[in-house]
Amino acid sequence: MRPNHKALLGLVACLMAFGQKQDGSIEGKLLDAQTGRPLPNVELLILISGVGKPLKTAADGSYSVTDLAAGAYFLTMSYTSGYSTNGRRLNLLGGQHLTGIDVKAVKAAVLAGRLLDPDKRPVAGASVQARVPAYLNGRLSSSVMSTKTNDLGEYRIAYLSPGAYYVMVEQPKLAIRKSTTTDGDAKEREPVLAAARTWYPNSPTWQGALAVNLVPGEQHEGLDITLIREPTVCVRSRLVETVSDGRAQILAQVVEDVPGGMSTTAEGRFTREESVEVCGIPPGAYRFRAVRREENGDERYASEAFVVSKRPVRVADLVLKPLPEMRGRLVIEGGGDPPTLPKPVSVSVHQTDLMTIVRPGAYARLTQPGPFVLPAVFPEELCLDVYPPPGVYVKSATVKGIDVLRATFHASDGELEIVLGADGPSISGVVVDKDNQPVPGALILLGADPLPSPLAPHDLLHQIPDQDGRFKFTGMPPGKYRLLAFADYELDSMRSPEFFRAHSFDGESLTLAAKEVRSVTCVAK
Amino acid sequence: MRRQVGALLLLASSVSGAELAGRVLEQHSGAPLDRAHVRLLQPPGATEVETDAAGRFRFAANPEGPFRIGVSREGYADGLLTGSPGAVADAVIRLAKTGVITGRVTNPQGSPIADARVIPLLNHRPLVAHESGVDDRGIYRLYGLPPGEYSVAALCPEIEPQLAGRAFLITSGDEYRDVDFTLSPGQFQRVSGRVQYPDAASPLLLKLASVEFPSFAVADALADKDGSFVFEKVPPGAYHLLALGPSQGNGGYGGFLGSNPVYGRARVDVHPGQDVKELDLATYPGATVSFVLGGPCGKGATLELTSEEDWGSKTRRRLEVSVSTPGKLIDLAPARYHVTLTGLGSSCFYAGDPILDFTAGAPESFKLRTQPGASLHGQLTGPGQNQVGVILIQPEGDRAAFEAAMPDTSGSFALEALRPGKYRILTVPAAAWSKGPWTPAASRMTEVELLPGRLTNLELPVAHLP
Repeated sequence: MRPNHKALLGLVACLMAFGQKQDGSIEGKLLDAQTGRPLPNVELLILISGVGKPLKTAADGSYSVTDLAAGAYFLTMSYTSGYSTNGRRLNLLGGQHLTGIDVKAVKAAVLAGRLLDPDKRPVAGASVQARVPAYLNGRLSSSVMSTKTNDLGEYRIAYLSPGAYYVMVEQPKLAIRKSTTTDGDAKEREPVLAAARTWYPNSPTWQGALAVNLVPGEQHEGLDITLIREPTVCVRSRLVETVSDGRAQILAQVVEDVPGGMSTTAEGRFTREESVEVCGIPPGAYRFRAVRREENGDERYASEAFVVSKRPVRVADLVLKPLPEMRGRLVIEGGGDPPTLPKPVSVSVHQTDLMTIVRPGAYARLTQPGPFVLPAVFPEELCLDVYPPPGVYVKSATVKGIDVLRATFHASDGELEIVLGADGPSISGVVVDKDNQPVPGALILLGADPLPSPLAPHDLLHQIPDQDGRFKFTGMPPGKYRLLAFADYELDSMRSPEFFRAHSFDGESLTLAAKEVRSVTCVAK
Repeated sequence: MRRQVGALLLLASSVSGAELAGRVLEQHSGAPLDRAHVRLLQPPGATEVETDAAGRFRFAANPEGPFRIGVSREGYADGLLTGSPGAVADAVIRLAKTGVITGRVTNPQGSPIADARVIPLLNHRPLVAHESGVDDRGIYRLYGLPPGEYSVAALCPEIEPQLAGRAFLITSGDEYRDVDFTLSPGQFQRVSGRVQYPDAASPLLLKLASVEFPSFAVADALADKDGSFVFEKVPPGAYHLLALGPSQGNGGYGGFLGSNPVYGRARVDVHPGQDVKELDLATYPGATVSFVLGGPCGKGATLELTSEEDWGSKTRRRLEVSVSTPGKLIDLAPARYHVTLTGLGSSCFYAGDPILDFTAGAPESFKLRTQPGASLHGQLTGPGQNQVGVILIQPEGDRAAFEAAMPDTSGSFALEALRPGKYRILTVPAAAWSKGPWTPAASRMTEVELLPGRLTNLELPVAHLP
């Protein structure tokens, strides 16, 4: 389920600045992007240091917010407002009164229908997901809105931004149980036809799925989906726990790789060593995982990959072990002597299917160069995220010479070496239209030229200019870039390498030297 | 905890030596129910079969001792049937369809309220597992409601909880539509104060939870660096002020607590027209409690503590407990926790208080008392004994839960592994069972108290049945 943005924004661990004069204000109108008409009685959100404060538009679509300190603000909308917007970025000076800050929004869409089993009977409690391919830190992920079917098999996913969606439906999770069969049991040998995960209209995989295009305000009802039947088999394994004090439960899961992450196909909880099995697993590539989490947060973990085709599978024993540590070294180049960091750098590694979850054992906040340790990382395929402070860029990140900004790795591959550059360039400027007027709310893309594949996070950066059309990029290495500006755009395009490549011939080519401070004026398309 | 049961059962005929087989039918229509899961619970094992298109099931082996069958199917209340070996040729099990309550939640202008939740209450207890959000049209749908008498509440942040003005009796598949709520933001009051918090660098999360619906917070706030906090829009009412930190953010599903958490709580009454100011809230480290399993039965079990209030984090805690080695739960909030013990075995029950109240402090150790189940053996007597199809036993205070037992040809019946306590017992004529909807008449019931680990013998006189 998509997170509750109001709660997320309202309660993010963020503290307001104190002691500043709060005498600024912002006002404007909320307008329908298609008709230009004002939108009355709709909730806007103004993000103040990341905390969302709701504003309701008046009968004429106008809004105003007062008592603001100088600083950066972002105007957006909660998704339950029923509208979608790219938002406005604003820089407010002390005592400034910004007027005419209009926000354009499009009406959100709805996708609804029924889920039926192969015998055309309603399926209750199933998960229905509307997925949009999206990029996060240069890696392909997906944005997901989901819901559960009710007792009539009905589903309804509202508040969707207009665009193309792939719809996937899954049966409720299968149960992993204590095994009652043996390896040679006859009942396991033949595949059993059973309802399985289905991509609309009727494919077991994403490759066979068709996108559903939603236009602003569309109520796309009647999108009924019938679960397909696939031959399914039983999968067995054994949980082996050497520290068997029985105090913490072992969570066992069968997870499948789907575009943009893993999907949990089956789950069960156990208190001790067990032979376990789950039946009804359709063909695909999976992992059988087991994790045991102590009250103090320590984790013991096991994971085995397996593939299902037409035969039952006996997965190797899942032997739970403490999570391994990963050692690393941070180097700073191009800075002072001795090299220092203006602010700490955050380093985290995570499983490829859990891109947004930062675990304490796999996270470090480094204040100076030198060796560091991530004390407990999962022994699986990992991604790296490095968040350097302003003015510093990630020059390289390698494990045994492999570029792990663009490739996955394992904790056992070797030591992580992260080199930061303190001699990065910056580029700032104004985006204008053909009449040389500033274009606030445009999209500015700065991409390496040529754009590498796969991407590192700093290869493709985006900015939304402020109310005066001003923007600034930092945090990229010296090199050759292309700068693009768009007056109108869809949200998904800001991180998409395909979008950038499709338009890169329109952009301005520039080479940024170390420590260069460049100022430009660019014309929005 | 025993699952809620609302099944109606009919013993069509008894043939000694036959295998265990039968049919599952819809209670009010008599239609066969296919794909119902029929599980042999006693004797224990993983024997489970599914009913066919005619609602028929058949177990390959006939149990040698007393047996108990559990039946479940999506959209129906579970059924339980107890019987003696070799007595059943064709047990007809009727399942009561679960009920539905639907409607809309809107503001006085008729616009949907997207943040609203609707919760059914059974015997005044919220069934959180059955709650519903509202969709973009304001529509909610409560479904899968087992038989019982419900009230319904609509909850929305910054608005006083609202109860539907009537009760809803669900017997078998009842559906109540247009149970609409109009939620109107009324008068707001401001609630402010200061929380004593040792780590000012980390945010502290505060919640105002309704006393009537403690699992629902009407307002959230973060304390400032100096500990001061303000809830801007609080409707008048009685609340628990809850504080916890350090908060590491909130993803919409509850907060993420940092290490060494602290908690605080106080009762706050908000009256119309009166802001609440200068509240002074102390915070304390979470409690550490050792739990050990006590009592005559069960070597190990899984303890689950679920806080009654919405703390936003760590509301559900799990621990494996044993008789020999104490297990510890750390960082426990000063909450009222519901206790669930699972894995004790089918004939063993938790005997302690169902709620652990740690609001005024927690003990260093706590023994989770268990008790063995009770047994009830009975004999039907009198001229009507041969006409009795089934004996229903109902725990006191629970209008919806039943367990059914079948008498053998001599009129004797046996129920084992029952939770100790008071019960009401009713003999039901076979003919009455076959005529669809049926509601037990309390006046015709016999009351009995079953003691832990004890066998109660009962003689049930049966007059001529109509």
